[in-house]
Amino acid sequence: MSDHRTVRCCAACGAVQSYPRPLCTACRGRAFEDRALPMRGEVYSLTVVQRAPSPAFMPPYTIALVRGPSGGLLMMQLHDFARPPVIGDAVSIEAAEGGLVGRPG
Amino acid sequence: MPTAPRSLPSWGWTVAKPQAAIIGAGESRIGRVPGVGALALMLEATDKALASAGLEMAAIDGIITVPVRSDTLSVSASLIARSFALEPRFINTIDLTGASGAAMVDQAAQAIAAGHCETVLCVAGQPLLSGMSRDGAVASMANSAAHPEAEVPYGPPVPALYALFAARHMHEFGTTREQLAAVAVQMRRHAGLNDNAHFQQPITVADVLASKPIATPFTLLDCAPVSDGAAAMIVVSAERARQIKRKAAYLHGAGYGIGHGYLSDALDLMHTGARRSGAAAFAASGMRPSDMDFASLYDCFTITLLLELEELGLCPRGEAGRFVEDGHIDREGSLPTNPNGGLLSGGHPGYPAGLLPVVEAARQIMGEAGARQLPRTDRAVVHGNGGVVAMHCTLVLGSENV
Repeated sequence: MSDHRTVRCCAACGAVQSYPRPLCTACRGRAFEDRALPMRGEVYSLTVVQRAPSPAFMPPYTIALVRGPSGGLLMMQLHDFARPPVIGDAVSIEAAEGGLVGRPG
Repeated sequence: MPTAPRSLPSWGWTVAKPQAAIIGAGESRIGRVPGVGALALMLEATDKALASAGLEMAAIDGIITVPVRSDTLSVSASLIARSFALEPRFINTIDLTGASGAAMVDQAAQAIAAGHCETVLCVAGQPLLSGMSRDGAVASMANSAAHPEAEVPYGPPVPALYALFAARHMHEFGTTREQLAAVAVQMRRHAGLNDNAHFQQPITVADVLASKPIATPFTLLDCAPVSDGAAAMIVVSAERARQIKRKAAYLHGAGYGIGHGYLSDALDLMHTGARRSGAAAFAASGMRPSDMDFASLYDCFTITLLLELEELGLCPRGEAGRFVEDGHIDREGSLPTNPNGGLLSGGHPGYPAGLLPVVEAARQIMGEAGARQLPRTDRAVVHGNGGVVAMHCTLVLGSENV
């Protein structure tokens, strides 16, 4: 998977679309636009993984669902937080090797 | 039996007499059952279901199963039919993962009502524990539950996906870590009366908190074990059920719902498809959540059971943690739930796990639950959860007294 430089958003309501789908899950809009990263978001939920699904991952690491600025959720790991991140924290959604990463926003 | 059809103007649904019933239910050995393949496990469960129904194998003329890839086989309805030397007039495979077991009963009822067949075997099983390594099972489940491009690259094992529900529930409603643990403790207490449970040794909240870390807030004992096992049910028309067997579990209502496909297409994890599936099943049955004598819910993780209690209307929204902590779901409580120990202690054989809550409810209603038989089992709500709280099917089952 290549790096994301943009995130697909609904042209009508702005909700982020975590994977491509023909209708916006939030408003049923059919037009989309790719918006540039970084983008502001907010931690909707998170978990610290202590047992990885495969040897490709080195625990512990934090996985979050991050809400986009106009709604919708994206999954990513959180990195570089000075204290353990919590739900509600502001996040800067950025491009990273293999996809997205959330940093303190 | 209700004197149907009755109409419930407030819901706008027509309540009909039950058209079908489960007359036999059984499970194979569940837990670590080495050296037994998927079809042999399914046969073990089928033999028990047939004995419970008082029927011979040759009576089966319809088969419903779930997609299972196990051993070296993809087990289909046709493969089960040939392996059991049957020539069914109706076959189907339901792909709602953990919701499939509940959906099987509804779809068997529809096939019978349509005249396709008379005696449907609903069966599924696999050696998820012995048939592949535990690491292999964990990896394969992770890849099926998360989106290959939008989620898998970030490394979420299945427990982490459910942990995202738990963390959000704790944030929104103040649910505590100890309340999650209380679910596991309660299920283990019930499993003490179930000799076929994967784990029976009692545990405490402290044991749960001290078990191996998995994905916050979960430790190992918040997660159902990976198990070998199979379950089977025999479904016939309600009319035949009354002729064949005095005690049967009649299907009074069924409902379906979805909240999302993958987690990252959800809009709000705290509003799930179980709300719709439960409302539809209760409306069709003409019964309310408060009418239920007991519940049989899909508890792959501790949070799953809390979400279902709330979404099905069995306790107020946000209060399931306290509801469990206060003992309401104990076999002596106001709503005995999973008297067999659920999936958390009873065992979880993958996709076939969805049959187990239905089998337990049917056995309780038929009076075949042995040492764990509850005193009042005329009305039950049964729930199956598929995907990661994605696909839902709810049933309302009842005895001949309803």
